[in-house]
Amino acid sequence: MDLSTFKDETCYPVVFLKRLIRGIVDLCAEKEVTSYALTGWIYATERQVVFMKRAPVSDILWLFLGTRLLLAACTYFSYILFPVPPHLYPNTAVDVAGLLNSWNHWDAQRYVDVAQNGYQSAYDTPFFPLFPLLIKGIALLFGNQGYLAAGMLISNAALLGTLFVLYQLATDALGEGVGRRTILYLCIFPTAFFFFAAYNESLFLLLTCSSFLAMRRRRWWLAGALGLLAALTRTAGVMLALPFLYEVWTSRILPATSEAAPGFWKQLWQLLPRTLPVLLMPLGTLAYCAFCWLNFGNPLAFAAVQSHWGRVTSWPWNGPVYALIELFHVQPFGSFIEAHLLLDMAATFGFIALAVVCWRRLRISYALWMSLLVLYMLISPALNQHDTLQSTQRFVLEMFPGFIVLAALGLRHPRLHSACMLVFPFLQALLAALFVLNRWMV
Amino acid sequence: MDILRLFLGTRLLLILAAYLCLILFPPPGHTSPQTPIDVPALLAAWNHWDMVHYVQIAQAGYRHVADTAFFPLFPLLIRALAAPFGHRAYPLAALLASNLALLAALIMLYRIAIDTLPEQPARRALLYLCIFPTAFFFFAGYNESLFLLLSCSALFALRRQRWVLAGALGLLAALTRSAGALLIFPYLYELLRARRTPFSSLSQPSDRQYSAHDEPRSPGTGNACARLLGLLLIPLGTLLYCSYCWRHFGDPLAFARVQKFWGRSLTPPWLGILGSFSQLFHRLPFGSFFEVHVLLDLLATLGFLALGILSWRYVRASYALWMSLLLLYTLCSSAPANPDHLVSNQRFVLEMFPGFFVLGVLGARHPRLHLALMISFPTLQALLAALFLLDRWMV
Repeated sequence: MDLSTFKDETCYPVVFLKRLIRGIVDLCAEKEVTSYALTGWIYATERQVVFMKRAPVSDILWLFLGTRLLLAACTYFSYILFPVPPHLYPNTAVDVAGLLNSWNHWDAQRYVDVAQNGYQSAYDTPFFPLFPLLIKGIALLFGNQGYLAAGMLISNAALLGTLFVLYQLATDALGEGVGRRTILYLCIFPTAFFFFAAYNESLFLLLTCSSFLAMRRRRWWLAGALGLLAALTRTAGVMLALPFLYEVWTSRILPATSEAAPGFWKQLWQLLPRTLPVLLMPLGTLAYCAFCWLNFGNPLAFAAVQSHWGRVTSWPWNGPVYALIELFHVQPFGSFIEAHLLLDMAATFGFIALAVVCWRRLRISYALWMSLLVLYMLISPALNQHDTLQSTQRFVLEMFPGFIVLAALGLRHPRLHSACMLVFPFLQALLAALFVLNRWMV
Repeated sequence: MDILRLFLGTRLLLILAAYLCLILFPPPGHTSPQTPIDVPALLAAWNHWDMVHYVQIAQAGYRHVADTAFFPLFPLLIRALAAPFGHRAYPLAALLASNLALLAALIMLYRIAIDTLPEQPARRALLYLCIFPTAFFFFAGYNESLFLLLSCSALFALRRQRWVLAGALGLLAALTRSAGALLIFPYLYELLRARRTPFSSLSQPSDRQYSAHDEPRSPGTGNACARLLGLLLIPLGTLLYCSYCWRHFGDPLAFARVQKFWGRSLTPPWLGILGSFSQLFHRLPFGSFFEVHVLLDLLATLGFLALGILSWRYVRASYALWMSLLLLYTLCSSAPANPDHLVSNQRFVLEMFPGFFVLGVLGARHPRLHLALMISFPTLQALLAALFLLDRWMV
């Protein structure tokens, strides 16, 4: 996008208008937008224009296609080799339809089911509607078939979009090296195969990352609209309102000297027009609430049925504490629950630590979002299950600031990087194989 | 220090793999079993396929003629480690022997690698060796790591012109795997190469003082006796085992004859590869069990063929020669009676360390290749190790 027109100082009305519109619309970095942003008047103090960092398209495509190919290979190997009993060498081929359907497990099944048949009972409501709607849309294009394939297509396409947007965010924040590492870690993370399956994690990640990018580029309505979609994708989406408000607050223009600064209320009044889009985010949740009310008589049906999975609202420390008790006192060594607990606890504690680091290394809005997600994850533990931190190994996938910080740490400590490079793909292969074989995998 | 970290890191990862596989894979979906897995079960999970044979031989000796395919040094080593601790220690001793041999092999390989390569490719070579898809065989009680240690040390001793040591290591290598006897060819090559230099200096009108200023004499250099002794030691290993087989099973080449149990026979080198292609594209249906195995073995074979050709360019000729000999040896003993003609090749390539050197060079030169290997190798290793641990057919 050519922003060079910003450089000239001429004030013909056309140029002025052009600047005005460009100032709102264009994708510029924060520093210079402050001076051109729409606050009733244009403060043309800074002329330097920061261009959007060109994304390394081919690198991102390679990473995306490579990891997709690898997961396809994982599917092929695990589906064919694991079910064969020991010391048997069958000559028959596996059922190809079964191979293609081997990702239709657990929640993927639910999403596909919701897409195909709509919300049939209140127990479907925790599966938020945007992802099934998209599946339905794609499937209708192909003559009302291929729901699972449509789901996987959307999930993977959303991942590709996420990689570009997240690269941008991370590069803006901490430089290009961190940008590359961030998307690498995101792709090889042990549970990253959920971005391949028909789960809504990647769609949610795409929407939230894009919303953040829009906020950073001062395109408030776009950010609000993306937040609305995010709120329709997962419950946590509505929390985007808080980082949004923070970003709006930092976008106000402060004159050079503090005496000339307008009063607090006046600043607030000036910010009001761009605060309005914040209403969009709760609107998404409210729309879904209305749907639930109409169909199941309970506007909060999606929260109410969480107890079906053993989830309750609780103090944030309860989940980890009960998990520790379960791990060290209740479960014998080598039990099924113990293995899952270990995985979930490693994810939870790791990302709590990353959230703490976020406050030191990243913008406050990112750290805020990260902490909100962590908090949300912790206050709805599955206290009625043995694995109280159930599914957290998947939930942490949504916390993109954590990945940015992990990338920064990996860049600074090469040994951490090698450890991640060794452990992440290794574990992902095992967990993906479990998923393909329909073993319990969050 | 970095080597130690790499070693321990990959060991921990494989232990973790055993833990996760044993617990998470067996219970069918939608159940949550209550029977825990204990530590002996974790150990026993590695005791599959050939490791069972090695452990049995270590424990009870060669009882059946088919056992002779498993060469004696590794079982002897297991026995030496486990004998004081009773019969239950044998599987553990096998794991220990294999892993210690790997650690020693890594240290040795690094010394060899920095001898010819810059720092970074040398490190990469070791890394690739540890994360290679079938590298978990270095953890299991297989003799691959011992053979790797002995063969690379022998080659390094040759490089340093320590002939007797090289011969002794060659003898041990020949007692570890049948391919060990092939070390005689690199030995001859290095011998010729070493003779050329002294000859050229001798052919000049020489006086006694001159030789003192010659290149630093490594022990045994000028000693024809030592050279000959080393040369004779290598086949001696195989001959010793032959005589053992003769005495106990009446056939000095029993270990070669019993290969037919595994469908192996002496074949022209191209037969295995061509046969695999025809299996892959004509005979095996899509999604069959053997298709996957043929695919893996074929990939390993073709990949290392390419690396073997490249090794003539990138590493010392004696190493390239060794690699080519190993390749030829595996290709000439393919298994036409098995649906997977190149069966076990994905494991055999582990011994071809010059191939890993070349891979290290290529990886250091092309970052994208490095990234691809870094992601795909651990992924595949996890899957193959899981198969091995769950007692699925895994070479």
